[in-house]
Amino acid sequence: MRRSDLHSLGRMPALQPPFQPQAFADLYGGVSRYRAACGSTIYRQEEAADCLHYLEQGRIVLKVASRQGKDAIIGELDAGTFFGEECLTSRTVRWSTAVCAVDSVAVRIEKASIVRAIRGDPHFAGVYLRWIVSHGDALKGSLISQLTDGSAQRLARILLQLARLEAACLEGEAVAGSIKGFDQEALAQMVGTTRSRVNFFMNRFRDLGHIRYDGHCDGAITVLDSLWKAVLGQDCGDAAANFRDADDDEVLPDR
Amino acid sequence: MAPSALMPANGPPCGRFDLVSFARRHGGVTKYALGRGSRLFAQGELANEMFYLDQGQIQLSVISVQGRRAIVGILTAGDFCGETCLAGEPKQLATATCIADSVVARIAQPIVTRAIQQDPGFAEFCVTYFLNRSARLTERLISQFFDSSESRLARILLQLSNHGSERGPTVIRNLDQEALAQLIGTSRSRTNYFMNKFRELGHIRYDGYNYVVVHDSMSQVVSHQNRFAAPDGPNDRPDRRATS
Repeated sequence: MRRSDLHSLGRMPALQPPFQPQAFADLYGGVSRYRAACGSTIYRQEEAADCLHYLEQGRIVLKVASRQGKDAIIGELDAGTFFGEECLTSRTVRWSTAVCAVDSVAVRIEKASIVRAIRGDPHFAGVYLRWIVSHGDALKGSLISQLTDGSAQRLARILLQLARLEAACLEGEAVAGSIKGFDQEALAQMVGTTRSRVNFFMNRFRDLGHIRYDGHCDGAITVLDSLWKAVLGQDCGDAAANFRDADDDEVLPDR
Repeated sequence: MAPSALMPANGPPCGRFDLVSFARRHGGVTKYALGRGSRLFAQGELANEMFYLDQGQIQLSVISVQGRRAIVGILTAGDFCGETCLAGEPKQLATATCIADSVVARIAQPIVTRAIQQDPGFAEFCVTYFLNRSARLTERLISQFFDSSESRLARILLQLSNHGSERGPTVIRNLDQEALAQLIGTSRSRTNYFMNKFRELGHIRYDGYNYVVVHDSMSQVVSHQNRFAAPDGPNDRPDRRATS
């Protein structure tokens, strides 16, 4: 069986129906709402993880830095998702740094309250478990893409995801979407490659008419659904080879 | 069943699932034996059941549109798979294949959902179990971004042999170098090269497909190039010397 659908690249799923912080606070307490401006940091990698967060409005990216000075973006989340779940695992420090990509509103939930809710409220436990499982699936999608895609495919997936076109592409009804606030450096950190290779593929996508952008770092990028068919679709076969550059050997290049 | 404590201070991250008492309490469990090579479910199939692996070993693999193969995970006795049905996802993300003779219990999704609603101990167990699974996935994902294939191989060997976990080190069985290569996203020949290197350095003992014994010394390979850095943490700051 061949996989043709898009798997989500570490994009955290939104809860349906949305979590109600106020109702939760009335029952279990330990909830505080805060605003965070674009670019501000909510928690840092290696900090003690003592609470869970829930994003009500905005967009957040999760960044990881290595000791060698490399940076990676391992997740991006939209309103309606939890983050900072390290506090509930045996790992007690943060994996990543959470940074707001736009002005955001989130709530902080103390660990003790969340543990009380999971133990005392089967309905909440069910809702939270559903989120954990789909979060795990998003992580698997990310890992699968890292293991099987070349850099061009991964970049295409990320562009489609950031433009929120994945679902529409599967339905075959997407046309175009736009991305703001992600420069080529950020895209490179999401793909796991260098900025120069991202630049190379972006230019190629633009020349082929799959994306539109003016080349400025902060300019918006318009993504067309043709990108999906050309790079990731079932019939792309040879077309995908066009996006392979010399560094991409048969297996994933070692970084 | 033994309810697990969420994030206990020193104890195991989650207790073991008790299949017998689950079946007695909630019903709907079918237990059966499967031979090596048999398939539990395939990528793209309808997801409406969860499976508990009582004995044996299961491999979760995917094939990309371009025909590249990857292994998402190796499950051992005590693990669950097919959990994607709990998230309301209609399709299986990966193919689950037994790589050793296994005993598997199938639990229909409505039974699991009802058990979560009725049994707080089971709900807590599931939350802890799947959070820890996510943590392992996050670790592999970060490794994929930052590590060379040599340290990715070292990490996956440590993870597969349960080093640093409460289960204690075990021997890795039923995985050939092709499978190891698909777990870390590199070629078989490179995996072979590093396996031989690790053997010569005394970090592992192995006999092809049959077994890999990972020694404690393997953790040196990954620890002396510890990849984590606190971006603004004290570790990263250059030494401040007195200016006078």
